[in-house]
Amino acid sequence: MTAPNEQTLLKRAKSYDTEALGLIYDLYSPALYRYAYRLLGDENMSEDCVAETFSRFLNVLQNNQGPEKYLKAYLYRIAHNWITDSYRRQAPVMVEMDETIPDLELVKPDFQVDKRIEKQQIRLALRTLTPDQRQVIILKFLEGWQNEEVAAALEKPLGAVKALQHRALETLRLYLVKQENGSTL
Amino acid sequence: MKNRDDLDPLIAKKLEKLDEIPQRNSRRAAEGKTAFLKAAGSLKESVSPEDIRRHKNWKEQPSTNSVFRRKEYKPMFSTITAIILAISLLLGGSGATVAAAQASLPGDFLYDVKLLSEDALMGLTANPEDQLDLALNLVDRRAEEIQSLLDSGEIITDETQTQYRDQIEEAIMLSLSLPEDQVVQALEKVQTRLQTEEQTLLQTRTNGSESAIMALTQVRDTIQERLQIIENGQLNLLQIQEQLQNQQQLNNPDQKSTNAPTEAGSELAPGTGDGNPWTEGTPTPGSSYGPGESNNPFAEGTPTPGSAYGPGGNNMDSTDTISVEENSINGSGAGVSNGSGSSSGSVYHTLTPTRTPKAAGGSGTGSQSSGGNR
Repeated sequence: MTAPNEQTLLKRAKSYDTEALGLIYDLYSPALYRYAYRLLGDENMSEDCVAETFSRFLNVLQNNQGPEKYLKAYLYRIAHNWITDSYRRQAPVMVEMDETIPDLELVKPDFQVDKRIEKQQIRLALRTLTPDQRQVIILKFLEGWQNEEVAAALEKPLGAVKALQHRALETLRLYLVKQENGSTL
Repeated sequence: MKNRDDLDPLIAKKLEKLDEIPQRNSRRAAEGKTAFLKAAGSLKESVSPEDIRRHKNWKEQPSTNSVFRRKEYKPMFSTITAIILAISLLLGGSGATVAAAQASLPGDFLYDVKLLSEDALMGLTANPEDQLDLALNLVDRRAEEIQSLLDSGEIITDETQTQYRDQIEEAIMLSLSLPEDQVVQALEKVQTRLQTEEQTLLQTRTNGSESAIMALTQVRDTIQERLQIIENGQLNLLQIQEQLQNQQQLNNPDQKSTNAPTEAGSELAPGTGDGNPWTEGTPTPGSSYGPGESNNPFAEGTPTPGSAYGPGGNNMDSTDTISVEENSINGSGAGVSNGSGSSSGSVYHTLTPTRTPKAAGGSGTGSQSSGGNR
């Protein structure tokens, strides 16, 4: 995380500097896309999430609000809230066969199906967590953030983030163990 | 890498499944960026940070603040307005306005409201006696207004004096519209009020200006003129009443003290008057004074026989009309006067109320009774 650069970009972004805004988009939109895709498992929804995140970012700039620092954490928080809202808007997507799976020799269709089922299962497991717990797990163990960065994104103290992480992992472990036991029975 | 070293193996294994992310569609990514920058560009054109700071500058600069005041410059003003409005509504809205107008003086904004409320009150009063009392109170009120204006050194306009004079005349007219046995008493009441007001005005001090002294003199002259009119009118009415009583005694010797007409009047032949101008168009033509056919005991031996009451039939149900003309104290009007051709008689002016004494001596027939001094 490059805080000074972020602050410079933020300052320029508040005056609607197109170049700075373009840099911000190039810098953070791929990571935001990955973050959204991990939780949503859908390319279109992930793109929508990215577009809405930057749209909301413009709105806060227009209202002379927005962050003074930690722009990356701020954008992830916007995306996380949008994803949480999308969870509320729609029921969990059931695992379905994808007819567009490339018919490669090294990629067997049944193997692809298994992979998609496993991804959907872990996504369902993450949805059993609270929004804050889920964000801690994603940011730390999938995006590789440090606790301080996660704390900035959640706007919570470091100790609170660790507590959230602990409870999230315990809940996740119990859920997965239960799921494993169920599948083996 | 990715902080998973200390993770539960089961969880780490499951999370690894999400590491695989399909390649992002570059075209959609480019479209997203273009849309974002386009939206940012439109915001830059329409809204700039300077526009937002401009409002703060207005607040901070006293020079501009004195000219271009904010909407909330007097926040308490709207609060006070709301309270006054609420109280006005609680008190009845227009009722509060009318109540506030009662203390206004001529020339004030609410004075017309005051006059309108008085007219409305008069219109709502049905009983003639109550109307007279109200009219007398309004006469007092006009006089008090004039005194207040004089005390405060303000000018008494002609309109104010006219209103006062009209109010007095209205009281007189209402007195005459009362039943005959109450007219004299009512006129005495008006007279007493006017005399009291005259005394009050005599004690009123002005600011010494010429206009104030002139106005005060004019008001007093107005009172004195009306007092004179009333005095003369009372004399006439008393004589009329005496004649009526005498007539009744002649017709009904047994009933000596009643003013009510008797049936005997209807048995008498109607008179044949030929020309009382004041009786034209009256509801009961032919009942007025004038030379009648039959003998009129009161027409004989009068100072000027036949001038006022001509020899007519003894019609007890006659109707006379009192003509009112200003400044006619010494003029005509003998039709209702004391029988002298040159009466001092007509009390009234301008307005012509119709009064119907229930009996009149020497009444003649016809609407054209002579009246003696046309």
